[in-house]
Amino acid sequence: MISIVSSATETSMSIKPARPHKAIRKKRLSRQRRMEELSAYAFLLPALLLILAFMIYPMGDSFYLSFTKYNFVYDKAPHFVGLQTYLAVLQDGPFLTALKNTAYFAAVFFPFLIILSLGVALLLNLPLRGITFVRTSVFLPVIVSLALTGVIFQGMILSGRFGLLNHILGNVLGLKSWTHNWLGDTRTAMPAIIAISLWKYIGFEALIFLAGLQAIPETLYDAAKIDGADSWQQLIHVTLPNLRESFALVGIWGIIQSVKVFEQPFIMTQGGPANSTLTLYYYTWINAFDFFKMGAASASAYLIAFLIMIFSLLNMYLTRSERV
Amino acid sequence: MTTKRGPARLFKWTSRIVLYGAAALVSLAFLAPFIWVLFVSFKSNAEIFQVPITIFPHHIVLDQYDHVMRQMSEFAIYFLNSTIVSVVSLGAVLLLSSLAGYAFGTMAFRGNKFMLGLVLVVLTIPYAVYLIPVFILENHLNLVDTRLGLILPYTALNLPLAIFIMRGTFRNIPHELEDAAQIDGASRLGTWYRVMLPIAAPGVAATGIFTYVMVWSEFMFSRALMLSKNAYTLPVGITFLQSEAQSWNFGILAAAIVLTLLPVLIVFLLLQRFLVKGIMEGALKG
Repeated sequence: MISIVSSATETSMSIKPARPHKAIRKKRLSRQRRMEELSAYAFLLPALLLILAFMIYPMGDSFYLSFTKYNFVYDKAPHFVGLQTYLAVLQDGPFLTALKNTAYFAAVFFPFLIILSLGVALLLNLPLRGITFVRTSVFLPVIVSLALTGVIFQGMILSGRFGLLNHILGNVLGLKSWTHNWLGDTRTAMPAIIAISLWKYIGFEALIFLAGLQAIPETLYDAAKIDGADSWQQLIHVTLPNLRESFALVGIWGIIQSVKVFEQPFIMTQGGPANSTLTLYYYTWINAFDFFKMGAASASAYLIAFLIMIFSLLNMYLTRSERV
Repeated sequence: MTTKRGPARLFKWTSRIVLYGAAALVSLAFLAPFIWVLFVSFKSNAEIFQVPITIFPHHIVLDQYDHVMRQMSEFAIYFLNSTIVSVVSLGAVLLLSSLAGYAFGTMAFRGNKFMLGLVLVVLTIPYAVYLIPVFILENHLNLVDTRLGLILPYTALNLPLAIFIMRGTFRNIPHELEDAAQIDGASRLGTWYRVMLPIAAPGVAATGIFTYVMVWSEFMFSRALMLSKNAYTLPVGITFLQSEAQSWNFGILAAAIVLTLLPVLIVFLLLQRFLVKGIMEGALKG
């Protein structure tokens, strides 16, 4: 296996302006340096205060809540019960259904996302006329809110009688028997949500891949051509090995989107039919804002965070650089 | 962005046709839902409910838009809420992130790495973790159903990524410029505002469009924290419009969707290059 890995991209990434004056300043704790520190803290303060109040503090608070029993409506204060909250959540029937559904979503969505995004990026990287237009159209769904995406697809595309999809299937392609109540059937509701999520997210991932593709120096392809590699071999031995960084980024983002599936089922199916699209994130929401069980909801929110962390670490490990 | 790349030169004429076909299909697949909504929004009710349904509108009518804008007072309220919340959050994010990004990118201070690490860690945590305590907090502070109750968390949630982009932007500005200004006796704040910020404009633009797209489309916080109809933002409000429209009027729904999309679409098309550049450079820098 020959893989030509570019070193040019990596060195260009670590270029930052040299700041020799700082190295000198660092050595003596002068008045000037203390002044600089004070002004740095002043610049940071407003941003950090907001992050502290609305992210760091909530992170700690929900961690504490995840070990308590706390009904926001009935209880005066959270009641500490330790790991019991987690144990109760892990044994809750709907939680297990949600876990299974989320696993199903992720197992189908993630590989499709990676492969299709790479395919689109390879297409966008070709010197075709009007390819910028294609890039814009692929990216367009990324700027549309998930809520609106749900409304568009449920109301306009997938609905039974007046949806576009059934119209095309039945009246244009003549496949009357294929027309279907896509979101109302336990077998097709989740696949429909997966397809919609792909439509929404491919543009973003393709752009990351495209950046990686454009950073591969052309000399590598020239070298491969001299060695007689055809375009397929170039893809396997030059393009893919040089996309390691892109795979790492696309992977982590894809993992996050695979696990936190919320708006799509919330808006389009309300978790149904028969709980077939109840996801972990939606389960957490229902606990928190329908039942006001803030302890249980915090516990399942942390379980989601934990899942994302595990898979992100796995992703980091799989896309790690072989060389130090 | 269409640079001539090595493998592309190999393709011959026939494969070029196939590739153009593929490009057209891909483009259509991603655009079709938008085009369809646009078509429906220009049809009359009679045409929408015609069987079999038509793809192109036979007669372009503006009734649906007229209805949304004149008769649906709630749509105007949602639109106003979304606009105020977005504009204020956006302004706050841009101001605070360019201040913080400047400090992270150009100044030496103790705790630099720790604070930056903190900012990056919160980026990967799912929003649900923050939302539950924020909901409890805002209930105690009576911020539920107020615009400030959305502006504060929206600003905070978008700061980490914004700070990260701005930090990268300021780091890449040659420090000679900054040093020269300081020798001339400008204060830190003066240097930031008069010398550095104008050079950092593309980074500010990228941060701005990212933040605007995020805030304009945010659903979960808005759904949890805004409980009365008068406080809904567009992403939440439109889901309620949908459940009302479902049974009787697709045209109005389509027009409402188009109007909801329009601001973000305009901003995107105008500033697209900054967004694309931001993502692509961010992707390269890791």
